[in-house]
Amino acid sequence: MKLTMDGRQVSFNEGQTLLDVATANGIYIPTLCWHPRTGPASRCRVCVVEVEGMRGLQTSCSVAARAGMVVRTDTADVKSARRMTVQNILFSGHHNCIACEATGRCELQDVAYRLGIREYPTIDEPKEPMDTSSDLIVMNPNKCIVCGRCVAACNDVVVNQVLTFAHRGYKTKVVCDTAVPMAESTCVQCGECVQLCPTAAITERKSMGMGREWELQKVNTTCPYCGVGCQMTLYVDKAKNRIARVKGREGIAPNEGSLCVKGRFAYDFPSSDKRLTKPLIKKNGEHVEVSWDEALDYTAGRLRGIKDKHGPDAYVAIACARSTNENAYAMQKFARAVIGTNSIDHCART
Amino acid sequence: MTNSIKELENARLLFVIGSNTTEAHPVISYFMKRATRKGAKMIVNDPRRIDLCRWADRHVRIKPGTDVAYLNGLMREIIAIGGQDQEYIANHTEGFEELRKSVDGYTLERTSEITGVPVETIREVARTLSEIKPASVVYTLGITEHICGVDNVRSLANLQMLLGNVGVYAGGVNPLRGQNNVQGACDMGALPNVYSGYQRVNDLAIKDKFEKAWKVGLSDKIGLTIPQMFNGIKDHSVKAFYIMGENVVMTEPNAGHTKKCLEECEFLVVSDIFYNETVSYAHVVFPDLCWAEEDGTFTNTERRVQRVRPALKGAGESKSNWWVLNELGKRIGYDMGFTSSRVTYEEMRSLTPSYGGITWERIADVGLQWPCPTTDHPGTEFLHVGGKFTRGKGLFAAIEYRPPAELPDAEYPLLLTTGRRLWHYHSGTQTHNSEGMDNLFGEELMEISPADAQRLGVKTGDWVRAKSRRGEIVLRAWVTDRSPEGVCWTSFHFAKACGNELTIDAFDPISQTAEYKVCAIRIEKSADGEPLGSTRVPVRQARP
Amino acid sequence: MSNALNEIFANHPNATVDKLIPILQAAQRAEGYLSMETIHAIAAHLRIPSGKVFGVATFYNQFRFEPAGRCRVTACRGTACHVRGGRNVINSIESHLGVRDGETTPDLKYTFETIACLGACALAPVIVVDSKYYGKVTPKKALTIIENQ
Repeated sequence: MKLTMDGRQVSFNEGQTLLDVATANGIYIPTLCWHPRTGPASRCRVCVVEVEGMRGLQTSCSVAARAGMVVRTDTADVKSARRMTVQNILFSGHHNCIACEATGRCELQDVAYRLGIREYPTIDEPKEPMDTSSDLIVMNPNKCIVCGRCVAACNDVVVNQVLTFAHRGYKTKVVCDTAVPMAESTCVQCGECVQLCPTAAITERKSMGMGREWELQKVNTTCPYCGVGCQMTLYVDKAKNRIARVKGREGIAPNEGSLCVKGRFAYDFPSSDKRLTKPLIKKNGEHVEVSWDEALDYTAGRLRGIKDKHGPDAYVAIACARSTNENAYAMQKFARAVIGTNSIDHCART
Repeated sequence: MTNSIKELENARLLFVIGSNTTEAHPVISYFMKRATRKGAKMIVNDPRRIDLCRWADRHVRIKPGTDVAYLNGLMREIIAIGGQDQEYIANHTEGFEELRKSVDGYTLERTSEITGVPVETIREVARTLSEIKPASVVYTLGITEHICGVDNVRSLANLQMLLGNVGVYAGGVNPLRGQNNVQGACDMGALPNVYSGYQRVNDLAIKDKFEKAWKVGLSDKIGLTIPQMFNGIKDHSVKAFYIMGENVVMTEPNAGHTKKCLEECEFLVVSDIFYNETVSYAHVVFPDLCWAEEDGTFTNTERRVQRVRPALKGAGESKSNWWVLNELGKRIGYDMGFTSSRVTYEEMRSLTPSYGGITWERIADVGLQWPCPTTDHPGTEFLHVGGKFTRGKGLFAAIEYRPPAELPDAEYPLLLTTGRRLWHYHSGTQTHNSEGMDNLFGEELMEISPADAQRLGVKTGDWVRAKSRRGEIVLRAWVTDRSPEGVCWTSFHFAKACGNELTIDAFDPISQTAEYKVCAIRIEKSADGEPLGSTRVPVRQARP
Repeated sequence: MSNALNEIFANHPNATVDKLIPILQAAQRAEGYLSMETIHAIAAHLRIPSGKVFGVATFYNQFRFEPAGRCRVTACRGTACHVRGGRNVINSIESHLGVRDGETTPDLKYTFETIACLGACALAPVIVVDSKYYGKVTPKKALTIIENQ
């Protein structure tokens, strides 16, 4: 099926929206409330386009493409409507990009930039208090654009059903349960709302001041906790050798972007100063730090001695279900090929 | 898992048994909860009123350790009402008659008496299973951590074959593996009876293959399992013990026994990332690289092989295990030839048919699911497609119910079952060392039912002493109707009050898995305590 | 849980979320306002998250979350009332009772609210006291009406 978009004949599939068609054809339409995992919400009205024969501007995220449609995404009306919408959003909140945690990854900032908004009026009304009750997540209603992505994430994606809209109109606010502080709510701190928030209305607390989006190196890896094997991106401060932030990888199996409280927030143990950093040998009942050569020579000597005296089956080993396949493979090959026993197991049974 | 995680979202019926999914596998629970919103029915079978019950159509509160009786009772009823898939049974299975005979004794009344589930409930669950197909069975350690763990799993396989639910999309028997790479460690042959890819050590052709590849003579004698290793130390047949990254003091049952064995071990080598409870017993300690420093792969619960990448420089002088083992090998007189993680993987791949097609290049972005024998194979989303089993036909097994090893009695009147909490991971080496996690849940609690608490004169926040025949711990009580009367629950995340001081070292005869889920304890109040406080009461896990 | 609430739930056995608004209305009629305990109880009865109940309840103007005064005073701030001096009426009531729009006096005697338009523009400015309409009020007249309650 085909339709006309900005004067071009483009083809599309049944079920695609105008936004889908534009994206597939490299045509930029700004969005704020739409997200691949929460779908169209038609709240922000930033994605409006003109459709011939339809009255008024249409939200492209929610209008289904039909054969023969004539769509314009770049008319003066469209541009001015989008600009006015974004200006109103900026005007009704407190968006201070210099101090903002989201600078560099803020969708509102990007959309304003792409629309050519160079300045916008601000109002100096009293700021609403932030919810800093949780150790892991900060909610700042002054940066909330009421796009609803967090509410949809909480209710429809992870189905934890904590976040909700309260009140209405200009007073609409995202709250936990019955507007209680997050730490006292039923929130399990999965952080799906953090990942889907387009601004810094909901952010990771531990990541504050830990580095800008563009300064941090992104490393794709697999979560170290349960057996689901969630795919995640680590945001790494190379100079300080620490992880600053963790994000689920959108659109990638098996987790499709979602994480849980451990995967998203329990990431700083590698940088703990309690890590073991040198080999230890027990001498006179005390562990003392030794060089690798001493530890390896000593261990090899003892293992060879036991093998020679008692045979290979006097050696047993437990591999680790937390470590990599490569280490597990090395562990069983060591038992079998170096020592000569099959007594290798791991905690699959626990 | 026979099937894939994403299929759970499109399931028509989820039969969850012995899986506290929202806490132990939160991200999989998202798929299951979404399924219920799309109209799927969910039956949660669990002694405890776990959080997942909020989304369930039915919560069946079975007594701990009575799963075989429950499943046999369900199967008898399904056969009685003609709910079995006769065509599937005829074409794809063997041994149906034996199964039918073996479940015949599990009448509704007898099943109800053993399991504590009302007759009407058994009848209704059987009807639902007969009517809604396919059902996806999801289970975790609530099934396997029993002296009859293997029987439990085979009973679930019986149920699913009876209903014709194996080898179909959104069906199957789906164990959710507990640890990030427990699947991989099994696949790699870190087991006493198989090499990588489940190639048997006592199969002479396999032995010959590995001897040629490794150019060394190998043993065809099946090795020891973990409990046998500890017993070997006790009887002095085991002299050297190499533990890689396992905090066995906290994770093995009957911690007192574990500690005694480690003390007696002639030579104990431990490699780990923190100085934990087990490290303190070691003669030699190697500092390990941790997850964010390692290069390699993990294999998840749906058999998906995925990349792990080094994001950080290793702490201090810590090293990868493959490097340490290779260095030790050279010093003992055999060079394993591991010069990098990738070289290690490539050797494994060349010797492991199911991983043959999974190269690091192919999984750079998205993982692949084994079996994947060749580099042009797309991987395997679900096993036994169309009811084709590895052995040809699916074999029903006749299984009889056996009670747990230790049940409550006059001296130890309460039943303790153990498990995991959302906020922590195993012995807590990682989560206790991550900022913020201990503030979410900072001390272990003993969950006690309101009826038992009243009898004991205990309220939430009071200090209690929990004793079993093997040990005791002191911790605070959380009075909650998550626990049914007569059943207590705790975890093993905290060294100060580790549930495994109490658990019993009784094992399944085949899998050698310990019965972490049932032992008998006594609880005494030791002191009044402060209420837990509004933010510290785990409201998040006790929603109505 | 109060008896009234139990009775409401008994009248709506096995109710689903469709019955949320009727139950909220009945609860408010019975108890005068919706306490957080009531909201939690309704959520538990309907087996939905309490946030959902709170979100719906706060969306509608008809629901209140604090105990109301025995006497309810409503002043219109519609256009017609405004041009005929409604603002002065409102100011005078607020300063007399010592409460702002939506608040209740500490002695729980009066609750004062404003409303966008009562639709009785011919009588502007209008106030409503305990469901009775009073037209063409002045600040002084309004206070007399209120004091005579």
